[in-house]
Amino acid sequence: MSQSLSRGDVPTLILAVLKHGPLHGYAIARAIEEWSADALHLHEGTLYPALRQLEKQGMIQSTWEVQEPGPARRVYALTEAGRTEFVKRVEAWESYSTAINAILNPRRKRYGSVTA
Amino acid sequence: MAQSQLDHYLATLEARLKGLPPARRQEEMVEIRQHLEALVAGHQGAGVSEEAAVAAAIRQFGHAEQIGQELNKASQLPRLRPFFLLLVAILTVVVNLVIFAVNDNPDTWFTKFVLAFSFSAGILALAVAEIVQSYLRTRHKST
Repeated sequence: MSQSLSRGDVPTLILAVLKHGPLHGYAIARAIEEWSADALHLHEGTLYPALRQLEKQGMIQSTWEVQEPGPARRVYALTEAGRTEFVKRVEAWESYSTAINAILNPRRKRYGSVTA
Repeated sequence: MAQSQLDHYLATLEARLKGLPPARRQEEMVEIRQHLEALVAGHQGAGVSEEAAVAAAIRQFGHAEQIGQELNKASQLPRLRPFFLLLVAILTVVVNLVIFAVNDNPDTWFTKFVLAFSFSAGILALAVAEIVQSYLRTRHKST
């Protein structure tokens, strides 16, 4: 059974991709695709509303970069606020998954030690 | 043939970006076109015909109307609250009236009122426009 990614995960995926450096929209889509086949089920067009939302929230910043050969492209970069937010989201996910793991694998815990 | 399919897709998406100023809308369209063209080139590079490549790229990008609608909503700048604007407009008129009231210069009350309103015409018009627009938007949503 595989848990597919939902649309609510798109902003977090974008932050995760941009943590490694600025990219344009198409490259963000390719990076997500490389990481997870599940993300393929999300339509790539949904990246853009999420990018606008993140920019409004100050998590990312976009600039049109002029390239010597070819047309200008819009490049997205993580801001300091975005970096902090990503760390927060990772921590939140880790504490959540630790809690779920504890429930799914109760044998790992010794019940005797729980009553303190 | 394949190009016209792509153009049709882009036009459908663009039609949903009504809330954006023309310059911003054009920026969005340039970016989306670049993305789609890169997808098409990728598929063609894998040996697919142009027509099949365009169809695959469109499928991959998503439903034009839905993406357009979401983008329209996400890109809009937060609006000034219309009634906050109206409050500022009324305040401007009142301040003008007070200034004219303590001065003798416009000598009749009629001219004092006319001048107070005409000095605040800009902000008044903006407030009225915002209220009408927000009324139209809510009516549009409910239908």
